Amino acid sequence: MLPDTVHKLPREERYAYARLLAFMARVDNELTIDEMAMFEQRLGTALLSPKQREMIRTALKTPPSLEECLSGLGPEAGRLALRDATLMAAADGTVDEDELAVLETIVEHLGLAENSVERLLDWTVKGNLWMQEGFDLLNTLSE
Amino acid sequence: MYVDLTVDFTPDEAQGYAQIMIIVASADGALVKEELAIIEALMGRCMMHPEMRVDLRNMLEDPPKLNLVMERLSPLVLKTALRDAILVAAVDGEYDPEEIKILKQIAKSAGVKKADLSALFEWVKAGWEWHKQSFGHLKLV
Repeated sequence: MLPDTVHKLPREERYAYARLLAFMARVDNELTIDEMAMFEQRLGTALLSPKQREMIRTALKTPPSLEECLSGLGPEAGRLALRDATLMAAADGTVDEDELAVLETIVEHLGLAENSVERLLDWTVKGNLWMQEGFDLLNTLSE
Repeated sequence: MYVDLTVDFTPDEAQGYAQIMIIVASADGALVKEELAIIEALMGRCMMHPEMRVDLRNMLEDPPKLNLVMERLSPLVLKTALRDAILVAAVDGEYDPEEIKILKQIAKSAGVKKADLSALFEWVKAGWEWHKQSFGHLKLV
């Protein structure tokens, strides 16, 4: 939602980015409304064509393998996908072991520092607090 | 981002909410990619039907009148739209005077006072800072 660089990536990489998020959404075999809203939000940020969006929504039903998803990502797209996969994993309030394992695999694939997932999860918690402040503000706004 | 009360909007409320985003994005006359990306993200977040998104994209060239949109929205939808309209206005890096003018009109219509409007601007600024931190974690700066 906030200013990002996803939309500046080459189209093929934006598509690969979205495929990875589709994969992430299905890791725990459940697709909650929170995950779906996050997924649709990130899909919007990627400025994919309507046809690509349809293909990505199909990927939600039959997700590609993680290896396939990673193969299409360049260094920047991969890092942004890792960050947003972390947001996706945390969107339903918990990050289960399978999701954590996928995030660690992505980190390894990208050659990032070992504590990357931990740092991104901390960052995600801060983001949740920021959103909560936004809700609280809305609740207290003058009428 | 994250599940939001916009998910619970009726189709008509979601449409009005998105129209306000379009009006704000179009206010300064130049529609940049960042504005398109945030509008698409916000439409995605409220899980709007793809066909409604197409209709709204078509309005980017010729946005509806703010008053006509606002008069059919409840205070809650208007306040939520105000919060997210500030994000849209800020996304290209600066607030244009025309954007500020529109944001004030929305605030007035939603019954939001000046101090509360300032708090929303501060909230957006804080979100910016939070988001920028991710680039540091990813070694993208």
